[in-house]
Amino acid sequence: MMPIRQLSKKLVACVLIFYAPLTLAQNDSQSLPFDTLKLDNLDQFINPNTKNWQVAGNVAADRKQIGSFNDIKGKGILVYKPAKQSLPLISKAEFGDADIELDFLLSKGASFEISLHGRCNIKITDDWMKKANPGAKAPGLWQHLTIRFRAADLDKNGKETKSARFEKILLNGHEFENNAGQQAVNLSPKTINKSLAIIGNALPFAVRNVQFKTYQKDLIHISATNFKVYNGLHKNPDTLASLQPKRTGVTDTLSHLVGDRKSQLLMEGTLDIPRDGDYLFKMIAGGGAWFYIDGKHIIDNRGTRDFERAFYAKHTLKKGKYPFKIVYSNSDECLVLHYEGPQIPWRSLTTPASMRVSERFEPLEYEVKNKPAIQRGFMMHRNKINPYTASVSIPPLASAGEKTGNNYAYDMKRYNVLSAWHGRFIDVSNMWTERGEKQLEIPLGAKLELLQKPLLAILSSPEASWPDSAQTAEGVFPKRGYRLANSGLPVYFYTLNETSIEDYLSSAPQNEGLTREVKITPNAGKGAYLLLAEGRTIEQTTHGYAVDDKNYFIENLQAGSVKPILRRDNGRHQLIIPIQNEPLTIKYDIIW
Amino acid sequence: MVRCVIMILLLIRAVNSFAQHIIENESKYYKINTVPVPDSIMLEVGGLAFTDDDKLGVATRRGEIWVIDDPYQKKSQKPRYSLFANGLHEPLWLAYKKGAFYTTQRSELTKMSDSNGDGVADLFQTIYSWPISGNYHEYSYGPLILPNGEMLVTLNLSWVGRGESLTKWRGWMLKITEDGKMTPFATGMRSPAAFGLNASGDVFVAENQGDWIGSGRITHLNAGDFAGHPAGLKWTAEPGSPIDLKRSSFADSIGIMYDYAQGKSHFKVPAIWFPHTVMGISTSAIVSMDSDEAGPFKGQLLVGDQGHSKIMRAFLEKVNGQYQGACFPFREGFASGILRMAWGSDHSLFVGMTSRGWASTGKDLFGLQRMTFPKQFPLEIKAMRITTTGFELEFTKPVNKTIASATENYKMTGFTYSYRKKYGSPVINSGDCNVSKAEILADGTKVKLTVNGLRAGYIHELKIANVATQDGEKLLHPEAYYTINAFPPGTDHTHHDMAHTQAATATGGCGNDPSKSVHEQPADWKTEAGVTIIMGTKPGLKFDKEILEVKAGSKVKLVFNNNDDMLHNLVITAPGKGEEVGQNAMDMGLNGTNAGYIPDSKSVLFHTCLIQPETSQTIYFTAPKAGDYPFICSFPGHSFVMKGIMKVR
Repeated sequence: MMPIRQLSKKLVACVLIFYAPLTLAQNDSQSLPFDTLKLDNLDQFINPNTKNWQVAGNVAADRKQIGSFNDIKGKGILVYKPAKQSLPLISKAEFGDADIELDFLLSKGASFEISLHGRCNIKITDDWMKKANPGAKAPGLWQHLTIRFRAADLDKNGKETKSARFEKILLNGHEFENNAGQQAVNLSPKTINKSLAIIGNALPFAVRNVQFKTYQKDLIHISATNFKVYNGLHKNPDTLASLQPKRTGVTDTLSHLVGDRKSQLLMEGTLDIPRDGDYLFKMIAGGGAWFYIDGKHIIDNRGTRDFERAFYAKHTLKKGKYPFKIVYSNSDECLVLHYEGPQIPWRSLTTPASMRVSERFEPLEYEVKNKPAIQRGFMMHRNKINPYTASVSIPPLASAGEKTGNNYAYDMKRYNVLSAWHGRFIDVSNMWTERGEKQLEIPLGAKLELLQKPLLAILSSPEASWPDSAQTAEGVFPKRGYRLANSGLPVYFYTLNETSIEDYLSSAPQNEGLTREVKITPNAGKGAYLLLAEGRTIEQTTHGYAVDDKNYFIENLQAGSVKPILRRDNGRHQLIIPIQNEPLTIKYDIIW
Repeated sequence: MVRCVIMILLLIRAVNSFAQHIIENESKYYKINTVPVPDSIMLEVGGLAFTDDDKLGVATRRGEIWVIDDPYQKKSQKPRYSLFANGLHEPLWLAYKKGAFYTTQRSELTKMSDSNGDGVADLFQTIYSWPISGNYHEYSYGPLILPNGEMLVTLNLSWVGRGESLTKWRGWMLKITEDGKMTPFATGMRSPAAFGLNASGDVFVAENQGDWIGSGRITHLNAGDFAGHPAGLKWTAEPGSPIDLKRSSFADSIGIMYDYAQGKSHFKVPAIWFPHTVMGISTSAIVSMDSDEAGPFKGQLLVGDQGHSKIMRAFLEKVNGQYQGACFPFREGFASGILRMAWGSDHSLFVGMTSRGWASTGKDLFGLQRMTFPKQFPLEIKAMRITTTGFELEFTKPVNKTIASATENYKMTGFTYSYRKKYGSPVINSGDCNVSKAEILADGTKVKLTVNGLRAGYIHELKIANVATQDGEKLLHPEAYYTINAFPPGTDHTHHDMAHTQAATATGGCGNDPSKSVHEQPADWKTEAGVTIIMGTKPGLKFDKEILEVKAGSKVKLVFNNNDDMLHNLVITAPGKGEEVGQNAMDMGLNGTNAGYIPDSKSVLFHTCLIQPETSQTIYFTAPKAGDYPFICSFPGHSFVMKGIMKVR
């Protein structure tokens, strides 16, 4: 059907190599902007076949109908529709070493491939609810792909010493199992094609937000660096001018090890900036640290001793040599300075030994067999610790066959679902090893993060803003707790102004997500509401709602005679339910 | 020279066998049986509580509640375990009331009920909750159920390089009713893992050494009391706070706690200090001996110790309306770190243990043991009471009057601790007291000592030699530590006029041979050190490197960074001597504190001083000849796990 040919064994080398972090302890919360592939039209692609490639303003796919797909006129979204002569879509942009991110949305059953350099392929199939890629989401939802690609390494003569490969592929933030076969796109076989190609198959899908950073080999170099070590710790780096150093010398590396603990270190030298452009610097240090270029203050860490906290600053520089200065007040032996630049990925100016690494433990999976599991602990939620988390695992229904189980995290302070994920439950190594200082439960799946707001609130009007926590003096619901149903799963209960709630989550039919059942016994005339969903957009679908820009579905909503209200609160869409004076049971499915 | 070495070796043997000897003698009276734990259960005990039908509930650090049927092993050698509940967030206590278990999770007091009677909890109710920041040190303990049904819980301070109260009521004891009404009860706590009631129903809380806490201790608390650590005072402006002391009024170092407390209402000094490393290092459980089975000790307290895997005994008396008294060794040799104790229906004592993250002398990672009391008790100091002229000792049996009336058989030393923000304290202001008279009273069970030089605010160490019964039975534990906070009315004040503000006799020493701990690069080194080793610590009592490699004869600069929240040192020993040096340090007793726990031994080659949390020290030495040289932290109890090997090649 499609012009694809068998490729040499070289492709076998395009295996996934797990991303070996560049002394990076955590994901970067800031980075330089990506380049974006403009999708106003198909101008960014080489000879696009407009029979099967188009742009659209919005798309929708019924997750239950094979191949069902609708698009609305507009721009920004790349749409693939199978045609008699389907051809790959090949970018004009060329990629060397690159970080690439994109969103895609599949019609039910659809699949496609992404090919880099005509040799390294990623095959996306509708893996929803399959054990192979538990990070996969339902057709009709936007999914996110993260790719780190390394072009082939060449020697002086242009001979390949290492094949091109993927260093990282994440699907919705979860490790991706790539099943791309040994096939390559039939491009110009004599040259190494450096494009990105998208290859459709028999069913439609959409792609958007194609973003990338491509990298060159040249980096910032430091040279002619002198150091001075001063006794004591000083909160003001200018103090050093009036002091005599206890030791001075020359260093060829930047590290706290150049100085001593409980001493102040000054390093001054020359930075060779390889290219004009924006540079983003990141500093992590235990004890005050300051970085200057050309006499200008670039970044400091406000004197913190939290050696896991990163500080960022962006600075525009021209190619050339600049004097630099680093001052470090060595409390905790951690001085890290990383940077990202124009066509330069995150790199370190300091040595690996200059970073203090938090203790890592062997993985310890909380294994769930046939019975539900519940475990309280801390969990990261939107990059912050939520210390009130209960994680719950619901094993797959017997009828589910190959399908995975479902898990969710519940906020035991706000009494609402915090997040949900398919697949395995949690890792508890940093709770149950040694002192367990972090106490973090780490979901072993692609986490769908929901709200950190209470389900129940009293509103003065249907337009009033939703509160962040329970509307009581202490910010917690009275008479709260949970009981275990016969299923072994918790039924959460609590009250607010005498309105009482029971909240029960179980696996949705076919294991496709969660079914939530909320029983409300209202206290007459108190203006109680339930917050079912919030997001950037909430769109109505054949089966219910697509929430938060098609991040997840709410389906099969049963609320008796009560009509849900779609409203806006601080620019966000919300789906709320007004509670009348009669007891009410509300039931709906959360599908992702 | 050779003879010297032999002498030292003999001495070390003698000391070692002495420790062993104690356990052997104790075990003649107090039997310890191990309650078997099925292989599949990690019984890291956080709490113990008996049910109404005499089953033992056990809360574990992994969040499970197990119920053990027949923990006495009357029916079967292998008691039956059933899982009552799981999924809790590190419950470090267990209580039982009217058919339900109660515990604290990090952020709440939880009631767990089995409403359908199938033996498994199906109802978890939050009785009361408090905010937490996510800091690991924010442990919560309780509830201790009071006779009227009200409950007490305590909340650890957060650890941010020092103890701080990051969220409301950290560092406090709270009183909570069954329907969730909370009253702030008392503050001044740092790590109040243990608290209990004495026979009169008064509340005692135990503390471990830390910032502001010079040594372990127990303190009597009434509503509105302040127990010494100022961090919790952050919340005294909140509605409901019974305390009006201000955090800002505490300087970083304030001399002696007793002096500072004078004239400040509700400022509670410890009823009994448990001198650090001599009477444990981490007090962990308080129970009262209220039954006749406790024999002569009925009415006294037992206090557990996590790090030293042992139980100590406390005798309390009221002087001028306030509690004070003495502590005594009782029983060593438990299998793991003691965290909880609970009385069985037969008045045997169940001891629940865990050592994960905090090593203990008992090597097991966790365990459950049961201690039974004898019919015939050993010769012990039953009670130690202060009198107007000194002390009255009461023994469990009549003693030989001739021996017991000889004053040279009694040695008494007074000392105290610094009250300061820094972690721990050396023993300070140490001074001998003179025992000038020893009178035997009545049937020979009591001896009245006349002592000069007693001081209020001081701990008084009593060491007794030779005292025995007529049959020659010796005192099982010939020592006691009495904390004087007050003298009885009518006391002759000439005997306690020794100034307690005298300069400290020692300020945290560092061995007695400076050549083993060289802190500046030696002048005769022509060049810089050939090898620089950076050694740090990891949580859970570990060095961050377990193997060091250096060349014989190389000049070594060793930088030791104590990144932990406890005191540590680094001691390099002669090959094969790591364990021995660790044991020697443990046996140094009170002297150890002021020698930085560096034993005076040939086996100690090089060492740092005992250094504060978050500090660093550099030592210089020349690597010895090829061999494997152990290095340890010699702080008592740490060397079992905090160790490594320096390979010299």
